[in-house]
Amino acid sequence: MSLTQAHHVFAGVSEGAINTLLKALCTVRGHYINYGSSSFVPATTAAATNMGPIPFPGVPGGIQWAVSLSIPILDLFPPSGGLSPLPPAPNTFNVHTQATIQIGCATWQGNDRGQMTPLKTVLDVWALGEIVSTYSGPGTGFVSLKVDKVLLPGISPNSLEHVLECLLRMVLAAALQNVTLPFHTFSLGAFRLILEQGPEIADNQVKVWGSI
Amino acid sequence: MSDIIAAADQTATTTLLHDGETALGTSTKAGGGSFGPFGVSYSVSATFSGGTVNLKPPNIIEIADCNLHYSVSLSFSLDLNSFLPHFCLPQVCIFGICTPKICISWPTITVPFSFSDNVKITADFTLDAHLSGANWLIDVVIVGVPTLQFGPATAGILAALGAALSLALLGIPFIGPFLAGAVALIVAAIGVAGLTGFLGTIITPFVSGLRFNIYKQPKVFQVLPAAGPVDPEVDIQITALGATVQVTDKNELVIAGDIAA
Repeated sequence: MSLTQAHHVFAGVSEGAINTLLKALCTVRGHYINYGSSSFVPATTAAATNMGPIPFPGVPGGIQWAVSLSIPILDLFPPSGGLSPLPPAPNTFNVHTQATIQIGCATWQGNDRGQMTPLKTVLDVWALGEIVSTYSGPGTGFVSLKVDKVLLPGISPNSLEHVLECLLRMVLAAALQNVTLPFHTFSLGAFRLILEQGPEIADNQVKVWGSI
Repeated sequence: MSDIIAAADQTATTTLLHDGETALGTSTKAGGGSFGPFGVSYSVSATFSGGTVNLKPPNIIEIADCNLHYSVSLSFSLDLNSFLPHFCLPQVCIFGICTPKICISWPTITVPFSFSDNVKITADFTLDAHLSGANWLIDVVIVGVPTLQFGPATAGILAALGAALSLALLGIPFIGPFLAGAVALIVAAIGVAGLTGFLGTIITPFVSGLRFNIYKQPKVFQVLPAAGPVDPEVDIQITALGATVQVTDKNELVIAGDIAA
């Protein structure tokens, strides 16, 4: 079977290449996966995004917090290993990351600002997602990552697991929707793709077809 | 499996080739040579366009009917002594006074002449993927030197040359009108064989070693451009690149690359 099938051009990016691209992106633009209030992230930089504290009446300055994701690692269908509790189905990917959640554990008396001790926990996050494309004209467009489901195995009680899963699904989905990979990367710039089919996930690749 | 695979069928590869022809632009050469029995200096420019691709295993790209457009500017030197008879007026003495011996030397005239034409080439090319400085390139490189088949238009070129020579010779005082009649002899002396031989000599260098570039990207490949102070450019390294012709139910040009963050 030809690569181009009924089309004129084909481009396929392997699972390893997708992870290389994610690593390049998240290393240079760490602010996509690192967020925190001023005690943890004093200002927005390329490395991290400064956010406001969580306001809570009576807590001086609000609750300081930070959420950091390790560089996500994708496993495209078919599953590459047996570790994931959410193995990818056809046309989906599994993503694994470690979420570090920190809070500023504050103590105070009266009107003084008291002391703050950072506390953190690291959670293994597994998710399922799909590739979505945004096509903006011949030769231009990109794909991004859409998270559909998150699983945090081994957390009890179940209600806490569900709360954290929902929280981290929102965080992971928001972070990964910023990760965009232009079509020209798929062919290493060999041609300007006019998308006709895809992206599809199969054979540990993201595949697109079209013409030029 | 390579990190990234891009494939193009024959239609798409033909498009890539035409882009390569456009990118090659106009090539020029200059020199001197023989044009039939006469000497010329010339400058010639050439461009390539069109043609269809036929992908053939193993790793051969046949390009058929590629147009080589050429424009030639000649400076045609015609030494009239080479074909007009030499003669001298002998010394004449009258009453002891002698005239010198006078020999007639005919001038060399220079005739500028330009023409353009097209020749189609069909040849096999191979794929050459390589790193050149900071860029990865994929070139298609001609195998051997094809025989150039110059068409019937060469006779028209000879006729035009004859007209240009007539015009130049007519301007020579006294004998011009007679010399113009010799143009037919001059053109016949050059002949179609002389013209095609000359064209072969000056056009072949454009074809010998011919290479079209169908891929050029920096080794440091930009994934995303900078988009503000906290969004610097995102790059990857292309660590390896190759190109092959693969044959399944379609013939395809396959480009495979490996990358690193």
